[in-house]
Amino acid sequence: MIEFDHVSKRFGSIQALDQLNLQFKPGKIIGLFGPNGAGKSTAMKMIAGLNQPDRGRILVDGQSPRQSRDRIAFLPEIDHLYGWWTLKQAADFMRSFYSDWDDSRYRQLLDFLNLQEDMKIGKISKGQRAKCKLLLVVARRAPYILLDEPLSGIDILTREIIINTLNLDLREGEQTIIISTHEIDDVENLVDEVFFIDQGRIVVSGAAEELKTTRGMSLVEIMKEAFRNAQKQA
Amino acid sequence: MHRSKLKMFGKLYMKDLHEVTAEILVVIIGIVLVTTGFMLKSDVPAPVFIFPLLLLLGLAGFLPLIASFKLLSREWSQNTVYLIMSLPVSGVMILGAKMMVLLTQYIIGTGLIALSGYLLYTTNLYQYITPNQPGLSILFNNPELVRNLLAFYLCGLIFLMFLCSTSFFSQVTGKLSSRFSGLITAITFIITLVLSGKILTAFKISSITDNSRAMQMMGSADNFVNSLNFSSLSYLLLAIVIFILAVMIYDRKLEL
Repeated sequence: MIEFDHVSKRFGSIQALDQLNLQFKPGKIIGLFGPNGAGKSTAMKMIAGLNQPDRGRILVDGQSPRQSRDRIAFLPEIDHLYGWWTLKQAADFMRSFYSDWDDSRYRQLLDFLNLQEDMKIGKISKGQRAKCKLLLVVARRAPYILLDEPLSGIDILTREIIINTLNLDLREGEQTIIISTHEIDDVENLVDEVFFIDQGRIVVSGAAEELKTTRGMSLVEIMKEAFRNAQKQA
Repeated sequence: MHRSKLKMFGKLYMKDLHEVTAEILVVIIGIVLVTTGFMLKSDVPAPVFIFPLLLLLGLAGFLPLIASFKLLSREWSQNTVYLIMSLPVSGVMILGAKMMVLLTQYIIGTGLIALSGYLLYTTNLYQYITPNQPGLSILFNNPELVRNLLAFYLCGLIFLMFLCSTSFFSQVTGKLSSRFSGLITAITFIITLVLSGKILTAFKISSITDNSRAMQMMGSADNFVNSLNFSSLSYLLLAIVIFILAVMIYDRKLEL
């Protein structure tokens, strides 16, 4: 389980996270939704151990994020792979570091995503790079998979492939997948639990289906309503 | 299944080695050009070719320092630091692999220049300079001088380690701030060098860069080698301390 305990983070004059309390339960696909600048990426980077809280603490299965790096697969929003790498070189690199790397899954996803191992990462399109990044993350059987804006700037067809990839072979009860995005409608039917975050605080959270049923709205509409209310209160 | 630390280090090393391939090639091409030039034009006076070789030697010694800044800062400018910092390894491995690559670069460059010098000596250069000038024959007939040069070479290697540690330390210190990172890096680099100099002076340790003194001591091989050993050890200790500081900042303080 991932726990945020009164976590605050400030970057200069911007309060990225403000006394954030939340728990991501294992074995779920969790949506961390919010507008740009809401604090989603900061929260994701904190789980990955790339940022540290000013106050409060984060625990991943009772350990600090930096101690848990071998159990976390993180897909950042930006391109973080070496441009001179081929996909094969990138996979070899990842395979050397992570004991949860699954070669058969890698091969299966390689076909599914229609990628070739000799593709040079710096020379392929943005959509293909997004698929490469996803492949290298999802080919691991990591207990926690963090996807920060995995659909950002990706065309509709590639989005569909990425979502299908996430739907493919998800191991219910074993892997926790946290998807941070502001493009909710794409992943609306994928997530089990949702957390709507704004100005570093959780404004609405709960089981996705329950929220939709009780409120009679889609997740997009729920987010709009939640943020309107949050702005009024502010 | 547990992953081998050695294999991880190997992967990081090979990745970083790729990043300095261009610099290594520059030195190799230079060596090949100079050596080939001399081989083809044996009527040209030897100093004409020795001078560019010495220049290349300086370049081979200096390029790793430049590369130390490039290797680390590129991780940020190309966002690959997100990948590197997510890996389940400590800063010792990340910075250690980079240090090893820089030492490799130094050894390849200077080693090839030494080899080139040897080749020139054993072929054209030998017949050209031996009649009237002592040239390299001194080197090959004088094991003490060879020992001194090897000691001097080792000192160069250690001094490079010291400079690269300082470079890493100043860069990770600079990265602690999102603003004026380059300026902080430059200031930290200079301050660390000045402080290190003061620490060594305080302990009355002669600098290994003091060439004039080194040259004077060439006559007395034992004194020279002992002095170099002592200086090298001091610089090595400083390099290790600064490297550990850099690793501590990398592991505990660095954020993205």
